[in-house]
Formats: sequence, structure tokens, C-alpha cells
Amino acid sequence: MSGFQRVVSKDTAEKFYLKVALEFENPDTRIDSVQFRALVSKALHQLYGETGASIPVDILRFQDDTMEAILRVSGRSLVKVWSALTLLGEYAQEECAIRVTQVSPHLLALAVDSRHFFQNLPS
Amino acid sequence: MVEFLSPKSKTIFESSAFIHKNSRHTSCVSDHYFNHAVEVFLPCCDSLPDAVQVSSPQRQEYYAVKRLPLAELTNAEFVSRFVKAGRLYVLSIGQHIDTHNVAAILPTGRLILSVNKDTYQELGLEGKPSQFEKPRKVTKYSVEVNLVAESFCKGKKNYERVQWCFKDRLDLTFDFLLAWQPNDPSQSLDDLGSFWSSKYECLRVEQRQHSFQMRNQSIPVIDSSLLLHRQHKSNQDASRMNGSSQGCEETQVRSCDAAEVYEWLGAVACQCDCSGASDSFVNTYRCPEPSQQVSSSVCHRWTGLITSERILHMLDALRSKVECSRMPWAALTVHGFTDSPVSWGSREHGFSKYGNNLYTFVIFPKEQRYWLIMGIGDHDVCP
Repeated sequence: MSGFQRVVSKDTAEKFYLKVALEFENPDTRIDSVQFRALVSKALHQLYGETGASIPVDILRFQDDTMEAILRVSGRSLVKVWSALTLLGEYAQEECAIRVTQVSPHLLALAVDSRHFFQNLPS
Repeated sequence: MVEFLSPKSKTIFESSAFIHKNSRHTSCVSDHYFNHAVEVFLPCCDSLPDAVQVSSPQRQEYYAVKRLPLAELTNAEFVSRFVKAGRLYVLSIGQHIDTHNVAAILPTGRLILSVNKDTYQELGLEGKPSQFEKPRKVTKYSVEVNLVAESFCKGKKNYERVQWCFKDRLDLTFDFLLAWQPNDPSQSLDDLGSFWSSKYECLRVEQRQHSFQMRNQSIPVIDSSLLLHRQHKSNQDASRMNGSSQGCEETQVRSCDAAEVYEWLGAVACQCDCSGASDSFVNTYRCPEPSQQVSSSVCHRWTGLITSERILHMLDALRSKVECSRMPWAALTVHGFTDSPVSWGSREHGFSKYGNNLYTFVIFPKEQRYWLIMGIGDHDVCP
């Protein structure tokens, strides 16, 4: 059996993962994962047209209560998805905004967020 | 449609054995100083084994000190009582490395400052431009002060200059996290807290825990000798089209690729849905094949500031546990701080689009083999 093997991959990432949070102007508005996927398609369609709407996006996780989601997109469509989500301002006649909190080519990295962890240190 | 350049990603895959004479697992753990979270994933387990629980970072506490001037950390008394008397981990928080100033003291006794151009010019200490900046457009500088150098003591020029810069020229103040591993066992973290408690707000903080259990879950089947065979696979696919190969079938069935396992471990850690159908509208992601069904697995995470000694201790406990149990494999993941000025050793770390610096050990029972997967960002040097 070979003793040691090392492979370094430095290319453009095959997949990128985004952690996003959806906010509506009316804080009581709630949507589910299917509606959220439709919202992503709508955002892509709005900015990049039909070809944009066909970009494959996986919603790996959607939390109904906080409306936080983890998205999986291919590396080459990251910029398109990111920009489309940022520029989305309205869904189903209601004003909304999407905040992209974390972006990473490693899904594991989205499990923790050291930037926001210490914001509410007990005093 | 227009095409945009996507950010680069660096991932390092290593396959080795703990008993191999050149195995780098110890240096990988001990050189990664600022650990924010440790996570273990144990398949075929109902709860966290006692041996792992005992070695966990749970009992290792740390301090958070608010609005502490840097001059206090470079003070001769502090240096001799704490920096020289053990392994001290100090990291500023609440400041973003891509836009603000960040400070850290490594356990080797070096103070590292990553500052923006204005601060650098006002400060008056010698440093060098950040290696990730373009030559004529430098906006970040890094300054290094060796606190354990012989010339760094009261009365010496170097010391007086540093004190003067931090006190009189620029009063740099940060919120800090501090962890300390004293050389003398009679000393404890309390000494560190009481040192400033009268002057500054010091909080003793416990590591935060998060745990969840999964039932009837599919986990990937892994063969430790096949680290990455995807490139390999596509070559073989091509040869099969020519009607020549048969061996590839076997390779495909036997094991999952390290990159697939890494993604799957991420999906578990983020509690993602891994049961997507290939024609699903919402999610098409599913556990990589081949997979096996296990009745129960545990994932446990500690978050805070964790010393590398503690992680090494935990890795050893996990290794012996994997060896003597019926787990097919186990995983240990360590997340570094996004805004730490160094990643491994004194290698500079930056944020770019994401400040990843994390590593994962996938530990196998057979021949003490392991996979080490390190994920770093664009503004990082390969360890």
C-alpha cells in the first residue's frame, strides 16, 4: 500500500456554497422551500433572462422559521447567482431582500461563522 | 450569456498513516494556532464515547477582554509572566481582516499585526506589505514583533520603541480572546484573568456545545487507499468507450472520492437535506454512492477558542476509539478563525471572498490510516 499521497487542487472550484438569509418588509411573511426555489429562479430570470433562470441551483437547506438557506451552485455561475440574489427587491408583490452571509467553496466552512459568533459576548 | 470569473479555491488532500514516520498530522494540528470550532462525526454511535468526551475541549475555558490596549500585551511584566511561561493564544475579535486592523499573539511569542495603510504609517513600526496585495497598490501591512527576543526587555531600545509606538503614537485598542497553557501545572488560567480584572472587563467563557444525532442515515463507503480517483475514473471511462477496460467498474463500486466525502461531511455538519431526487425542483443533492445505511450517528461541535494541544489530545483519543470499535471511519474537523492573521505557523492569512482555513481528518481503523483534507482561501499559502 502506498505510504503517502498528496493532491493539491488550486483550480476554480467546481461547486460554491452560499449561506443566505431572506427578509421581507412585513416580518410575518413566511415562505417554504419550494417557494424559495421559485424566488431564486425569479431573481435569476430578472437579471439574466431565460438562460439565467435555467442555471441549476440546489437548496441544500431551508429553515422555515428564520428563512435562512444554504445554496449550492456551480463555480462558474456563482457570480450570476450572487448578483441576482443581491439585486432582488420584491417577491409576490412584497418587498424583500436577500443577505448573503457566507460564501465558500467548502461546504463544511458554512457550519460555523467566527465573524458573527462573538458579536453577542455575554457581559 | 456573459461569463464571469469565479473565485479560486484551494483544497489539499493527503492520505497517510498515523504510524508513518513522516506523517504530518502532529504538525498540521499544532501549527494551526487559532481554532474556532472542533467537530466530530461518528457513524454507528448512539452517543459521544466517554473517552472522546473526556479529551474534548469542553473543560478548556478562555478569556474575553474588552477594550484592551496593545501596550498592555507588550508590557514586560505581562510578557515574562505569561508569554514566556507557557503557550499563550491571543486574537482580536470584532475586526475584519480585509477592512480593519487585526492583532494576534502566537504561542511562539510573536505578536502579529495586520494593519491598513493609514495605521501603518502612523504607527512607526517596521513591517512588510501583505503578500496578497498588488505591488503598487498596497493597502495592508503586516508588522511582527518578537516578544520573546533577548532585545525585548526593559531598558533595551527595541522594547522602549514598541512601547512608545503603542502608547504615545497610536493607542491601538482591541477586544481580545485569550487562552493560555502554562508550562507550570500549578499555574492556571485564573492568573490571566486576575492580572487585569481591576482595570479591564474580563469574562471567563466556556466553549459552546452543539450536538445532534441522525437515525437511519446513508453514509458513504470509503476505501482509505483510494483518495481521489475521479480523474482516474474519467480516463477509464474514455478507455471503456474504446471497448478495452473492465477494471473500472470495480473501482467505481468500491469507494467514494475524497472530494465527495468532504462535500458530504459538510452537508451533515450544516444539517442539509441529503435525500434529493435527481429530478427534484428544490434539491438534487444526495449522499454519494456507494453508500451504506447506519442506524445511528452522532455529530458534536465545540465552538469558542480552542488550543491546539487540546485538539491533539482529542485526535489521539479518537484514533484509539476508532481502532477498537466497529466504526467504518470517523471524522474530526477543525475550523480556524476567518479573521486570524495567520493560518498555519506564521503563514499569512487573508479574507478575499471567504476566509476559510479548516482541516478535516478522516480516520480509518485499518493500519491507522487517515485522510487529511485542508480547505483554504485565495489569500492563503498552502501548508
